[in-house]
Amino acid sequence: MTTKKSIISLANNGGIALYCLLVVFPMLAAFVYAFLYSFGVVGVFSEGVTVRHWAALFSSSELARSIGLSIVLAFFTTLLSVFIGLLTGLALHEHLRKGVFSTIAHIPLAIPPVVAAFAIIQLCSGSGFAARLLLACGVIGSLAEFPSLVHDTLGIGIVCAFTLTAAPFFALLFAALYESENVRHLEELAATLGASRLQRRWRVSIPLLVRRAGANITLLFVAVLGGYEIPLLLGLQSPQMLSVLAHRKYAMFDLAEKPQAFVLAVVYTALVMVLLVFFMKKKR
Amino acid sequence: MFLHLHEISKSYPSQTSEAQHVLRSCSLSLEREATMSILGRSGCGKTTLLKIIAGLEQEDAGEIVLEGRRLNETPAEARHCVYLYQEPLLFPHLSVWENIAFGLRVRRLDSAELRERVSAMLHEIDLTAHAAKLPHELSGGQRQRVAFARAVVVRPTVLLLDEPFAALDSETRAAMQMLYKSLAAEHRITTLFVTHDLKEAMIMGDRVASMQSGVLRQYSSREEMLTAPELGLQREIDFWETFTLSKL
Repeated sequence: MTTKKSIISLANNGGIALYCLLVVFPMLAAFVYAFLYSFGVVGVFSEGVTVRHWAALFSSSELARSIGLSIVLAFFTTLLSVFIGLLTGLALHEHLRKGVFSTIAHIPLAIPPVVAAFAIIQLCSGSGFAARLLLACGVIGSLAEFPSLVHDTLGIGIVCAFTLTAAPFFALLFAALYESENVRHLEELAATLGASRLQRRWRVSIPLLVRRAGANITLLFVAVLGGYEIPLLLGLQSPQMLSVLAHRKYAMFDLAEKPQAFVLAVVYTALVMVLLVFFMKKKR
Repeated sequence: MFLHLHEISKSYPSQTSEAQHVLRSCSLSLEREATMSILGRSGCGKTTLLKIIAGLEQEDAGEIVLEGRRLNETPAEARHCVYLYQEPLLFPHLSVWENIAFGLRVRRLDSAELRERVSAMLHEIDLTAHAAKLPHELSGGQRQRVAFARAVVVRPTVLLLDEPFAALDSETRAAMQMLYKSLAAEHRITTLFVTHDLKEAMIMGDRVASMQSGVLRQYSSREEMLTAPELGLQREIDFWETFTLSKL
């Protein structure tokens, strides 16, 4: 018995050690490297400790606009994905467990972000399918009249592409939670307590499902905040989302601006950490 | 009669060509403020009957009359018949306080009256100190008390209890039976109480009915119960008499 316990304990500790070695340590090392690079301690043109790169980035409006854009687009993508996921998950929860609907809902999960971005380009650009269809139907007089979602100033195309990949996931998640959390019985109970259909949804199903999916919702927000391919293909040149801006700074011809990419990486990590701490506190 | 069921029938489609008859022309009558125990084995149709009264299942035939009003077409939320599941099904995202207040909030009760009624109910079930806790922080007995309080606080016309003590240990079960009886007397509740336990049926009910394979039989007197073979009450009495005598 003691030997079995020792083996289990060893396996657990070994697992933790392996996780730390393969995941935590490289991440931590990368963060420390980025942090030191951003202060000029390491790097090709290392010049000793300096806040010059932080000051340069913070003195221009580029960083604030990039953070603002990233947060706003991540917020609307999360909101829209959860909203569509809830509507679909609640309406089709029985069909989403198996059968044709389930297969259809699973397909978008396999679509890489770059394909979603190309889909938006094909569908919603100035010369895309939707524009040509509207032109053929006489709704618009010329292709130029179509409000293109590619490189649009409001970032609607980016939100649509991210939502295209995330909403089906949430529909499936909410459908699964509907079953596992006994929501049908809770709704029935609420009905006998006098709750109307709308009150049952608003006071029971939705808060319960959203609360249970809290970790996934936070992760989607973080993923969109740091998303790269979709904003690269569909976004404007300025302002750019955080990852696109960081990569531009990193790959610029002027190597002197490279440390600013690491400043951005540190800022992004800090943002995510604040978000995670806030989520964990709320969960507790 | 306060509650009257007239020839309620219900069947479900089955894998074979023949439909599965769950309820066969079930009739019962219950006067105001009384508790009727319905005794029956698992799968005999007791839960379906309660759900039909609550408006959660649709009957195939028959009539439900409550206070002289036909209920068949009334939606569940307008029937004022609160249904309690076997397990104490509390809203997991709401505190004890909010669980009890739920039925009053959906009725948009004045906030002062709501506070007063919820506080009084919490005091009555002796859980005032646990008002801010979430359901997963309570014991099984405490959760069942909250479920009762949440049902009673809305002053239901009929309370439908579907084996509410089945999951509790014998000591908690006895305590809950006493609590229910005192709440029922205090708030003058009319109740249909479903159980598979003969002793519990006798303790809880002013009236007793039994259900077998979808057929409901209501007993009008204790003598009728004693002679009903499906209840097995006489067998139970004989057993305990023999058991007691042999032990003495």
